[in-house]
Amino acid sequence: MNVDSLLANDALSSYLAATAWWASVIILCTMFLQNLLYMLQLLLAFNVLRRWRFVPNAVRAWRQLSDTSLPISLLVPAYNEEATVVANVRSMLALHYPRFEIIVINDGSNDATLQTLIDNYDLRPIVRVYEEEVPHRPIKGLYGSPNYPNLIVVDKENGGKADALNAGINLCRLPMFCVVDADSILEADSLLRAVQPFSEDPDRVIAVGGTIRLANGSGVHGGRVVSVGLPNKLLPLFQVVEYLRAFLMARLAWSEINALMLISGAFGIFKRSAAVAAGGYSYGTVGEDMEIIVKLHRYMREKGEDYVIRFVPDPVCWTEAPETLRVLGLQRKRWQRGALETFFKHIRMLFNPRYGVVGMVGFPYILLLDVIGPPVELLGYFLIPILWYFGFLSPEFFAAFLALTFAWGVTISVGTLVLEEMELKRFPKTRHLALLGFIAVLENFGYRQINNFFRVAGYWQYLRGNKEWGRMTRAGFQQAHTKE
Amino acid sequence: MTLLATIWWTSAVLMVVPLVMLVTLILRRLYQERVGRRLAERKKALTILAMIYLEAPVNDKRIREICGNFNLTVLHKTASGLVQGRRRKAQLRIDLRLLRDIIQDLLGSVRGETRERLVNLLRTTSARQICLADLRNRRVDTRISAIETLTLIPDPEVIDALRTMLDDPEPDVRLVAARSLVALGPNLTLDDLVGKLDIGGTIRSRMLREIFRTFASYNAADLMLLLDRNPPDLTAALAIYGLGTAQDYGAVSVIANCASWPSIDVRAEAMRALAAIGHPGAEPAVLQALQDDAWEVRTEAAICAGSIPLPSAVPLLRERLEDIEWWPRFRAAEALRSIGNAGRRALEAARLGSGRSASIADMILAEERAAAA
Repeated sequence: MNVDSLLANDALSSYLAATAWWASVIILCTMFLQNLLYMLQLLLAFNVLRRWRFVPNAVRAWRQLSDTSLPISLLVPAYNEEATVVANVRSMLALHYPRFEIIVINDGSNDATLQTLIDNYDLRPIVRVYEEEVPHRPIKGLYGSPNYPNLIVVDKENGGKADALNAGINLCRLPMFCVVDADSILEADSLLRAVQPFSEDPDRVIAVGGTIRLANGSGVHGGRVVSVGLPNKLLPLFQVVEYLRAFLMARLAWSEINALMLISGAFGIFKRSAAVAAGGYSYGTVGEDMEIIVKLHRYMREKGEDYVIRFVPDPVCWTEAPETLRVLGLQRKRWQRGALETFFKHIRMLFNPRYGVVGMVGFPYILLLDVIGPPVELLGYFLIPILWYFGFLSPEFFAAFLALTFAWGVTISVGTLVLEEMELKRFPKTRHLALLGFIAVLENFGYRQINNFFRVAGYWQYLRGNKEWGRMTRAGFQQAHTKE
Repeated sequence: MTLLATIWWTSAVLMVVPLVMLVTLILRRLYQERVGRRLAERKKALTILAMIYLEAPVNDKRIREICGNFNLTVLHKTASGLVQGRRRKAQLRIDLRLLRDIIQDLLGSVRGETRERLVNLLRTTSARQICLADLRNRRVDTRISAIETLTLIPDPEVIDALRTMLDDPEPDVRLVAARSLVALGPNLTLDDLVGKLDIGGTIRSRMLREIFRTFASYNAADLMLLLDRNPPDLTAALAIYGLGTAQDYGAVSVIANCASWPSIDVRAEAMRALAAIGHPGAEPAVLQALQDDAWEVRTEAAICAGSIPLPSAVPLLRERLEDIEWWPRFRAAEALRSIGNAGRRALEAARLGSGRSASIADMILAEERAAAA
């Protein structure tokens, strides 16, 4: 039986037409809702940035913010970081902050991460009293440096990033801790700026996230980003626009209504007592950064506590974006698994008024963006052309909706660039701006679809119970290194 | 218009709007870059000027030279009252704002006579008038910056102007104004401070602690009276904090009375303040707080007992080694370690026992031994 004869069958034809209609409605509604939410985020973010008081330079940041800053522990989980860990710890030791300690947690590395640290910082075994307030794999040894009294290195059995962070939480004695990836670079005054919400509202603020930027294309010297530039490859360029959209728009907007659902694992500050009360990080999670935030929301809402989770737009932590499709794919699949893992673990919060704006806005946003979004978008890419081909979809409507989808996407991306340019101006040259504008248009034609494919693949991995992190090969800021 | 036409028109608008925005942004950036280059040049020249001004004696000839080289004649002529014309005045305002920013940044890294010289430079220019005008600027940042600069060059008119800023609608501005006024001496009554700042409402910042600390340094008596009036919890905690930093022995009994305040935060703050003062008169309050229902208060009480130090607290600290919560247990062990022979004996005895107290005593002594080695 060929297609024509199939279509000649009235019953089958009307069934297919009805299916086509419903599929189109679902796809269009999802797209419409997503874009509507993005527009709302753009407006909210604009409103926050308009009021935000930026501190112009490091000298003034110190003068204005150092007196009110609380002591803080930097938790740096490290797994097979022998190539970069020494330089990165050195840059952290040079942070401008009145009182801080650095706790590097060697999470059972297979390479010489620990020995490199011991050799370079003249580490010696120490004893530090601590309570296992949150669970983690056994600690094998603690090391301190006579030259750097605020540096502690923990050697523990491998248990993953969440487990390593729990060990760090137990060992820190200061009221706040900051989670920093061992392969990230913090700007010297980023801590001072990031703790601002804690200083402004010390009783209610329990967590603060900072902006992550991509260092690809920027000049790095001595563990510092000395000149801001743009990557010269297309893939990281797309990610620059993507990061701007994620941090400057989405997180800032949700932070404004206290529905922030994610603080990046590369740079986030937490009130220790709140993190411990919520049970710390959950062992074996892939998306530990999202899970701890949702957990904090859930705990605070269930206890009826008055609390705030904030995002600050200007503190900058630099990280490196994947430069190949293979590595990007690994990263995006892991992120997708992490989002689904958190969503289904805390699904009772969804549309549950008990959890306030988190249950009614934050969680439905994850549902739309991470749970429904990827498969529906994929369905659209396949189904709509098929339906159009068989005449179930008007070609005029098909073209019009396609144009609308792309135009809306471009508007949102360019809108984020406007936010960046009006308030932050982190890209020093005019041609950077022009290039990013071009990329904001271009990303809708190919990159977005590839990304969606990775997300659907991540979905599949989640359904199959895959919990691996994947081997992430990166070029390194100065030299090549690999990270598990 | 049909649905199809509406969709096409919406798409077209959505395509044109970002394009226009992008072009506008690029043009704006090009303009700002041009202005920015000019400003950077002037800033460089003004920085050199400020640096020369730091030399003693000030080399007027060199200043004139630099003003000439960098076309800063407007700035140079200000002192002689030779500025004429609107354009030149506008340039002067820009230069003075730049100079003000440079001086503010330099002040963060210099002290003593050099600092005085920089402050003098602010005084001799018209920065004061500009800052007074800036207090009415619609931008919050500008108002705050003006308050900070004026704090460096106070006079009765400046103090009055700062006082008016306590009525500013923006909480951050009121907060910075209060900090400046308090830093400049007894310019504020406690009623002003508490009444205008909306403590615990729109203002909860840790900067309040700095304000109360400075306030307490010359007006501890008023803070003690405030505590007698049963203020809201946050105000009480701030007053106690201020009294603690003032280290006024006369405040010990007032603070000790706060050890039975209903709020946990206030009780804990009272223990911190008593620890800061370090007077044995706090003993009854500390002993009571060591048995408080809230672990936060027991923790602070243990720290306080160790820092005063209070040998009479040893039996209760020994009990705290069995506390169900970790922090009181840990701080009690630390306190016993710092109290002296009696405390050390209690720790050793606990170490030989069993349960939580043996564990924490063992760990704290091991930490001490390792540190000594």
